[in-house]
Amino acid sequence: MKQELVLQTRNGRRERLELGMNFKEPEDQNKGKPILSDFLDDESMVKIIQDFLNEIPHRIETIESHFDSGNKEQLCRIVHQLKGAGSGYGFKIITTNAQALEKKIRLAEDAWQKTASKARENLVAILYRVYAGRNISGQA
Amino acid sequence: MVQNKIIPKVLAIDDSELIHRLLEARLQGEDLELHSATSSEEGLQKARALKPELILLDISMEGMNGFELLDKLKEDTGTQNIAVIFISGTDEPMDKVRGLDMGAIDFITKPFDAFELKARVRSALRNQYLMRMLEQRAQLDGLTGLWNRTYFDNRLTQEVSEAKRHQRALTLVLCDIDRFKRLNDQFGHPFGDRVLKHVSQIFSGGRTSDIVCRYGGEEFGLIFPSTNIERGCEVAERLRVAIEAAKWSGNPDLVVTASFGVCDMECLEGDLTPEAMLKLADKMLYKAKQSGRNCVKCAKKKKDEI
Repeated sequence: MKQELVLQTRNGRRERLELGMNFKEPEDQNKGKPILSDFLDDESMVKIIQDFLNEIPHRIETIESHFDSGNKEQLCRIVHQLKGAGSGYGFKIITTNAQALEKKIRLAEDAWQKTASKARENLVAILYRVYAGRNISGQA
Repeated sequence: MVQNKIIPKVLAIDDSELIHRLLEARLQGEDLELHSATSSEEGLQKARALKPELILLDISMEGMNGFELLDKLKEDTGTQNIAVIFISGTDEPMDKVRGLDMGAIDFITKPFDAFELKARVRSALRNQYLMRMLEQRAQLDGLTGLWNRTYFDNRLTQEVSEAKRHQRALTLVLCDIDRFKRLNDQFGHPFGDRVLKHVSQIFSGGRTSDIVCRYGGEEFGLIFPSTNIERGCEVAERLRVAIEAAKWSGNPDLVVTASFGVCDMECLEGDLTPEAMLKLADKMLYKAKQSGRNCVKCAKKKKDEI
């Protein structure tokens, strides 16, 4: 059965996203402890961190599908955005891993998927761990 | 007499929704109004419409990138003085050099620290405020606080062009204080200055949309946007009466008067230019002086002339 994710954008618009086979529940994927935001006690950040976490399945899905279909440009774009935003939401580890993946993709030529495969796995694993932390007190 | 804007507008242009939410959360509570655009095209449009004090600009965007957008902003006279801070995920020194050389005032690397972001935005807004104040000061008349001749010339050109584009009415009034030299000679220059200041106050107490300038010496230029000649003449007559009725302490019997020349766009022959408008208003002012002073002379509309 396909899963669905409902997002509320900044301007109040609701978007319904369908998740495909690439997203699995964190229990199956999670190989480490859940990761929590550094800004849990910052009231002005609570709402946007919550939205960020809710959107992680969609981001994993997008990363995997662009990677599988060889869409280098779009993959770079989403990874670049995660690099820029990760620390801002209190997840430095996302920025570090997204930066590593972006570098691999940009530097590699034809065989970029092979070169970047490990870095992609690392980033996705981190995203699963961040997502796994969503139900921990103060974050959801 | 000239109003300053109170809350500065900041426009964030970035194709990442994540960054917009972050900026909104982090700049909450700052003394500014935050607007957002998620593409460079939308950003350019909003920059032209909003004329913000500051733009926070991403470099890497689909379509037009941040550098290309900055180029467009600098080409346009309406947007070229907006302060721009690049907020970018790139940490390439050459990108920073390029951005700053192109006219950006600062560069913030993503991911950014919230305190640093706020401090840099505050600093940019402070500088922008001072720049605008200097710009404004350079266009103000020191004695009366009204706009000066430079401002009048630029503003009249702008208003004529707007009136033509939107087919709106526009009235121009030239006013000259009668026998001003005699006042100066008889009561001294400090008194002459007092007269100029008081007349300026009378003019500034009119409608908020009116643009009141000291044209030079004892002459004033008043631009009335969206106002036809009939209404313009009524306003001029009211101002004339107010000047005539003013009481001068120390000289209770003194009556100061002024003459007015008025025209609107529909009174012009041939090209609708600021020069033609000025020439006609001046001609009407001359007529008012010739008719014994202390009166308002209004030009006729072309269609009403026989």
